[in-house]
Amino acid sequence: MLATFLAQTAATTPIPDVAWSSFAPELPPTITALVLLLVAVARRRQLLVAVPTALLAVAAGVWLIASGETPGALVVPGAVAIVLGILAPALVVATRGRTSLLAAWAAAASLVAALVLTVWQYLTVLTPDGPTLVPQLAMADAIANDGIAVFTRLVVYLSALLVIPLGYGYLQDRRINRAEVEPLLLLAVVGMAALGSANDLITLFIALELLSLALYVLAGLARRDRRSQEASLKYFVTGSVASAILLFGMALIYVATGTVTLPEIGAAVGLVTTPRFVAAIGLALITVGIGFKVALAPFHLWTPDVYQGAPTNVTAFMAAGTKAAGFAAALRLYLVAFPDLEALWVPVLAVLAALTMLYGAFLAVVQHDVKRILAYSAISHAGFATIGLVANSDAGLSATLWYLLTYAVSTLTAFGCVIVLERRRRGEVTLADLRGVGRSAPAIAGILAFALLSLAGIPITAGYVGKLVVFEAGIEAGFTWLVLVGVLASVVAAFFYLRIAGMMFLEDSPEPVEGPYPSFGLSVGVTVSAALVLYLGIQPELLLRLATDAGVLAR
Amino acid sequence: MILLAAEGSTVTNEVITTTSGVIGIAWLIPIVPLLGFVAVLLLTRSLMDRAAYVAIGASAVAFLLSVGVALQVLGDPATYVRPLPTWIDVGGFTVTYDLYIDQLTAVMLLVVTGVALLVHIYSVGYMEGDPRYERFFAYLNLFLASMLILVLGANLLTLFLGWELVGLSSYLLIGFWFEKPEFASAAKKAFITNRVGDVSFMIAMFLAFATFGTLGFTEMFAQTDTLATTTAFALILLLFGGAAAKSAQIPLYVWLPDAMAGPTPVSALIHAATMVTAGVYLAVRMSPVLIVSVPGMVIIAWIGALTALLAALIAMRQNDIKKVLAYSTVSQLGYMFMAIGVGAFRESIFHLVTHAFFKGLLFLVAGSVIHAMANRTDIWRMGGLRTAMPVTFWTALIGWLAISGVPPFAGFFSKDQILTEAYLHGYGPIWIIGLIVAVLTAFYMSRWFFLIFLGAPRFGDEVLPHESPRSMTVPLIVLAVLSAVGGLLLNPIHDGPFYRTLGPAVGDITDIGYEPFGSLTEPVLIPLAILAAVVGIGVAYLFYVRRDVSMGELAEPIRGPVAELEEHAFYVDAAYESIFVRFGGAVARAFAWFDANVVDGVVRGAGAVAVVIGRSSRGIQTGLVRSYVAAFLAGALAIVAVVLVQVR
Repeated sequence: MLATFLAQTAATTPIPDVAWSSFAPELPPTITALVLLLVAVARRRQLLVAVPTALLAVAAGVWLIASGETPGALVVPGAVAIVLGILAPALVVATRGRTSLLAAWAAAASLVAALVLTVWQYLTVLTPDGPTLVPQLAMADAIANDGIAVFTRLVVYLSALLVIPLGYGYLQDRRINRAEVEPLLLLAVVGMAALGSANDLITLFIALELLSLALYVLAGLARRDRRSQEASLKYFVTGSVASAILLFGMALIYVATGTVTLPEIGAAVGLVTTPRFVAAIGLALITVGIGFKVALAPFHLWTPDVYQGAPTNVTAFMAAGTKAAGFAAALRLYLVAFPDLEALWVPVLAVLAALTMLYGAFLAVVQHDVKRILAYSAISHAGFATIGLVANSDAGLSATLWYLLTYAVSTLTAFGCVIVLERRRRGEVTLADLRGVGRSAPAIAGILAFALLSLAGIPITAGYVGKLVVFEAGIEAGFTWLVLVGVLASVVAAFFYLRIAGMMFLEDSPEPVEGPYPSFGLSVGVTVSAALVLYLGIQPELLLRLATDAGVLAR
Repeated sequence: MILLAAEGSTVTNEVITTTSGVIGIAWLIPIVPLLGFVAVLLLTRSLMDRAAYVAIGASAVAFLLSVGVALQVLGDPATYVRPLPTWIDVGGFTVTYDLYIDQLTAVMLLVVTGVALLVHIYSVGYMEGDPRYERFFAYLNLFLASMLILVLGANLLTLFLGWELVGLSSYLLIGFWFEKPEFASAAKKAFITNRVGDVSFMIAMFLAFATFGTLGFTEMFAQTDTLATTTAFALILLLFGGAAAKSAQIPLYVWLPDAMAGPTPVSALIHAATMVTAGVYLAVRMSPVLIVSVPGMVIIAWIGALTALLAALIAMRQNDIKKVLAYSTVSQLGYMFMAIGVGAFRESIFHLVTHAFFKGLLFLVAGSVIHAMANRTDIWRMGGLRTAMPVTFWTALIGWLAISGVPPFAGFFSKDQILTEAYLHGYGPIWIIGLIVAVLTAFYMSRWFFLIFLGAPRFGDEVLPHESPRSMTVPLIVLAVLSAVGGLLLNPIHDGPFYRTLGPAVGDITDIGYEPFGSLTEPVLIPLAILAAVVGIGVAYLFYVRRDVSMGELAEPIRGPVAELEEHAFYVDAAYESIFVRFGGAVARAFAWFDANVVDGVVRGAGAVAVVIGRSSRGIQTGLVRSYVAAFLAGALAIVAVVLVQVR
């Protein structure tokens, strides 16, 4: 009877024309975030939230499976909904009321679901016949599902998925495992994913604010730690200024072109009737705003303080996720909306890229705090990723996306190791603290050294293939000087990465070193991300091809 | 099997893509030591001392496979390409893990795996009792795997992969005894100097890709006849920049003498026989490109000759048993590059092979002596070890005669043929420098040998020298036999079997049109080379055996400013230190100063906007946010200004 009812509803209720598959991967994290907040409110009566959620999810899943236009077309999303639904009460029972453990597992599950749905979306919706990606527009052209969107989703969901086990034990140690951590993390991820697919200025701005607001709070998670508060506030104040400038730039673009949709802006900018002057100022201000988000010099000044002060797992997530999403938005903006103004933005970004690479590399040399060194390294890496953007070509686009994936896994590995070393130290890890770690904890020291090699761009690591592909795109586009600057910066950078490795392996601590304490989650997270660094270094084929395919843009 | 005609290629080998025979499983050659590395590292606790056997087994397998590959290549000479999966494939840029196996590869494989096997065995005795004994063997296996990747790669990028990995494993091995700070700093110096070379190599790869559209050897060599001379010139110099770092040539040789801080078997394997020859291998592998630009080759020849001379001069006044050998290695590598530069590619590889024999031997001898002398390394506090260490003495004698260029030992043939070739190709001044270096080499090596083994003992009663264990003497004997007869067997006359085998694999120089420098011919040139060796040995005999050397260093016959310069290695290290370390520090400090001062200065001058925002945040924060925002706005204004100027 139920079946007939469902069949009837499915027949009579047409699926509204929102092409909802375009944001399907975002649904599980969003819903999970909301449910987790409810669970936090419900305190001991968690099942009261979990059971109705489960029922709704299972019903939705069954309806999805039954209702596809062609039978079985929506089996995967339906199955995902059902599995998540069943998991909800099961997790509540299994974790026996330990809310933070429940939240971690639920968030991880929703991220896995998001990854599954991304792959499903890529395979069935975007590449219906054969390997060529067919870009899709949805929601009145506000969302574009193309290569950039898919790749960004993969990177940010993967990063978040790795950050959860890395951060779980750490948050508990510092007693900052509050109920809002996972929901905020999930919302930030959704913002990032949306940023990767935002096809008009409004969506872009909202996505950016969504992720920024979540991150402002996450950076200040350690309320009793002055540096964490300072980080949060600094990030907020400077970030607001950047948002304002970005918004002003967008307004000017609207004034100049009369539209907010990126492809239409692209078409309008080239017209004679468009006031070039206004458009140029708008472009400049947008460049400033984007430059802030991805931390290009001279808009990077907040980065070291924020990265150093924020809880380390949040820092790792910011470095891996925000960069990927920010660059995705930048790529789409410049390549779709401003191809006709390339004479304006290409040289500016090229100079910024060169400045950023050198600045980050040289300043990292004089730092002593490991997190701060990694922060300057993040700045430098943003410069490298910009080379692909400056190349202003399909190859450059793929190169930047690919570079950010390699950077994400490498930096997550590195920060994961820092978390291990930081546990119970309750504070910064300086270079001097690393002495003798090579002996007291060879595994962690080895993995950290490996991650640093990847960041430095030494072969068999992901970072090497990343740099190679970016440099190649740069050369192809005629930016030989920029690539030379990049090579120079990478030599300088190798020095300070090496200094960290050298401290661990080649120096002994004056006092006996207390061994680091990896938790189960940390071990899993660090191992998986290190394995990814190695895998992407040795066999980059699969994902590199995906990045190459991402060159198909919804224009 | 697919036969490809290597059309237009200057390499006369035909190219065969194959998966049959031993070549089909040649990928195991680097993989087996790599697995050995992983196994020893993972199973350290349960393996204990047996780790050495795992490592030795892995290198033995690699050696046997190399022999098989060599037999297949030499049986049917050609360039074999063993296809393997793709590594990187992006937008027309395809790089595979393919193996490239020709006569040159076969020679390198045999040298690398052969010496490595002996050094593995030697290390069993030498490293006995070291707290990180297992770790050492793991690293040795890692090094071996890396070097084999370097030798087997079918394109520049795979070669570079091995290139970086050998750098890395050498870094681990130089710093193996990191308890002493100078060891750690030696490791850093090696790594950073090599990074400088890597930049050059990377740019060379970019240029090669831009020129040829590929990095594969076969594809590149097929296009050399359309290569512009200027491009080839740039490419050669950039590649040489990479080679100069790895193979310790001017101006990047400074790391090698310091690298002697590592355990002595490492010095023998990495810093004498294999890794440092990677640059030579690279240059010879790229010889079809080299011959396109003779001016580029001339520069290589001169740098090689000058390196050989400079290092030989420095070696004359070193007192550390390993430092002498280190500078000697730099000098001999200079010979190899000199040979490449004058168009004697095969001679260069021949010298590489004999040098691996006798320098590997001499380093292992040094290790044996250090072992016996309770870790003393000052040759002025040795002497008279002839009786206490008979095996070490006799093998050292062979090594000494071989490097000095005394017939019929191995070094004589290879060195003499390089000098002859320099002369016959018209490079008179380089030939003369080569002869001078031959005299100096014979002199400083004789000094080394006499001071260690002859005369009366100059060490105190607390040291009781003894012969080393069997695991150490057996490798010594094997290498001594090779040093004694290796040259004679491989290539006793010019155009001997070794050269005929190697010929088709290297660039063809017949079209360059070399003219002899003068009218001398081999019957005159060969006695001249022998004379050089005899003079060097004779002078050293007069100075260090006939004179009384019991006063130690005070007995040094040569004094004055030149000796001073030599003793301090011409102050090159000090100069580098002050230039680069200070310069790099200054740049970093300049940036930091910029951060602290200019950014704040911008704040002060940024005007109303900054003040407003600054005020709003002043009460809350340390004041830094203010400067951040102000700098941010200044940057924004600058960008707007730049964009507007462009629009106009």
